[in-house]
Amino acid sequence: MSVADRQADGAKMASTIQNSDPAEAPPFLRIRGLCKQFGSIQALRNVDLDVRRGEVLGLLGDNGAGKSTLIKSISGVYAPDAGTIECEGKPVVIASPTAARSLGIETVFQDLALIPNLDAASNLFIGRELGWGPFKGLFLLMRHRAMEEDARKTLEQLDIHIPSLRAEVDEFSGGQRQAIAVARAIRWKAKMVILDEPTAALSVPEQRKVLALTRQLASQGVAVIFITHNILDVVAVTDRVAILHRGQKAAEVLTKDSNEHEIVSLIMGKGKAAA
Amino acid sequence: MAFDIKILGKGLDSNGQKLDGGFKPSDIVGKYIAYAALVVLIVFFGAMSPSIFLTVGNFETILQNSAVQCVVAIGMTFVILIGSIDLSVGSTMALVGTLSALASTQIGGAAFFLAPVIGLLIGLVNAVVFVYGRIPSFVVTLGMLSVARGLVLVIGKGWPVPIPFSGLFADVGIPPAPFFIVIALALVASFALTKMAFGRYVFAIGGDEDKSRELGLPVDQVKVIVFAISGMLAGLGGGILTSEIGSGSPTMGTGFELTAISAVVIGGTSLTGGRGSILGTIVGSLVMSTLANGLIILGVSTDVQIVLTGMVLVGAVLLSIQRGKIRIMK
Repeated sequence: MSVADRQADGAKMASTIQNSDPAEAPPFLRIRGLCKQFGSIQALRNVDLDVRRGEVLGLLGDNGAGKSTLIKSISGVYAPDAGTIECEGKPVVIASPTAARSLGIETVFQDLALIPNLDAASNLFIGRELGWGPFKGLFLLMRHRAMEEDARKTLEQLDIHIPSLRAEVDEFSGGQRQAIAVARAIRWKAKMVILDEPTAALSVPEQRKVLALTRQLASQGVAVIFITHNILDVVAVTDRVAILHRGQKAAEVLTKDSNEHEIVSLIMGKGKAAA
Repeated sequence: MAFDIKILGKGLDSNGQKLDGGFKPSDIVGKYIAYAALVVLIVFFGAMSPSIFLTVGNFETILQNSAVQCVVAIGMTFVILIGSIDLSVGSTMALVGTLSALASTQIGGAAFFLAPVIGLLIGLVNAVVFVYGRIPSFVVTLGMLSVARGLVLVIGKGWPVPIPFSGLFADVGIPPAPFFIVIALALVASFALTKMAFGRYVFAIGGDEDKSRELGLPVDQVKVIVFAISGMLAGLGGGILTSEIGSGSPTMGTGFELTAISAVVIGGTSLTGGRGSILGTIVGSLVMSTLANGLIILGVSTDVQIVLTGMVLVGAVLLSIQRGKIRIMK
């Protein structure tokens, strides 16, 4: 499926979502009663969460609230101790990052996993190069031109601008690198993208571009989990926020029904009533 | 929600960062210093000694003398591209030379084809200890440097092992036969590095090994193959040299690790891995042999040449190293 197909698909998806109550649209991922313990520390306690296609879900919470344990449980890094995960209605066990990827769940961790001395196209295809003939694995003969053309189209359709497809990603700005990492997730048909603090360490204009890209993903029908500490990002980009506090889901609110002050006080564990 | 999606359309350079397609002065110096040096050396020695240096026969000598160096340095290029080092190539050449000379007394000229195979096995020993023993390649191959050299002395009892016929490459042909091997090898090696997934992973591992693993690349497999290639080509080099000089000598290849590493680094390959090319290595190797040849013609002693080789190596790194990308020197 090309990015154009995906956009059409996404538009369809978005209209279905608009026609019904978003809360009733079937979730891409349904998490119920998730628990994870590290020694005596209960990192996650009975967390329920629905992630829907076409929606940006903000995942908030103070340091140690369980955000990263939760996303690592979804992306196949940790095995949860208890609880169930359903993906598109089917119960799944996400045992490894590869298993997560095959379900269409791509995680863009903070380190981005880009190879600094390779160019953008090489990074988009790293480990999944397009090849000629029957050769596979290390003997695969790379179709440079096809990969470059595909990369150019992918970046164009996501409205990502870089100085040159042949420049090493090391020469890119933080925002451009973030964009390449997101583009890679999209290129490989992600149905859900987890963005781990994508705006941390970016300049203000670059933060705005990453936020725009995030909205674009949602408009193409991708389910997005957006982890952040920045309350302005939450207001700008999310449709819904889930707030974790000491391993439990403290609250879940629609962004449009809430405000910055309420969200901040929820993060600090004061509860909705105190807002 | 007020959100201006058009900001993306303005390109991602609005944070004031000027990007020029990824070239920095040090990149260009590093990439092309060898080519410039080769031209400068030819012009210099040509001016100093036009009647001897600038002859077809002399250029054949230079090619002949750099052939073995090129073969070994091509293998070393793979090793340095993944950010490792192989210090055992010189000793491997000697061990392979002695073993294939011994074999040639039984099986004749076919022993020459045994040379890369023995080298490959030595490379595999390095690879397995390095990759699965998880100790630095520097240590593993330093150990092999000593082990292989010691075995040469044990097996040959300190004497050269003569081969019972005139070698395959004893004659300096026009152009020299070993140089055809170099051209063929360089084409295959360049193809593997630039057209095959293997080559891309070599560069990826040199760029960031942790992330390469995170991305699921077959890092260990690539590292084993790279050290096997280095051993195989050191073996081939040892075989050619044995054939040229007519015996497997116990001192063969002494200090050759330095020669090979110098050729690779002068050729613009980054010692920290991830950047470089086979063509650069060939040119780097020609720089070294042209320098040696020119100095002999000018009557400079070989002892002084050893001093100059070391200075050329350090000079090349001084000019080409990317200090912006390597912040800490150890």
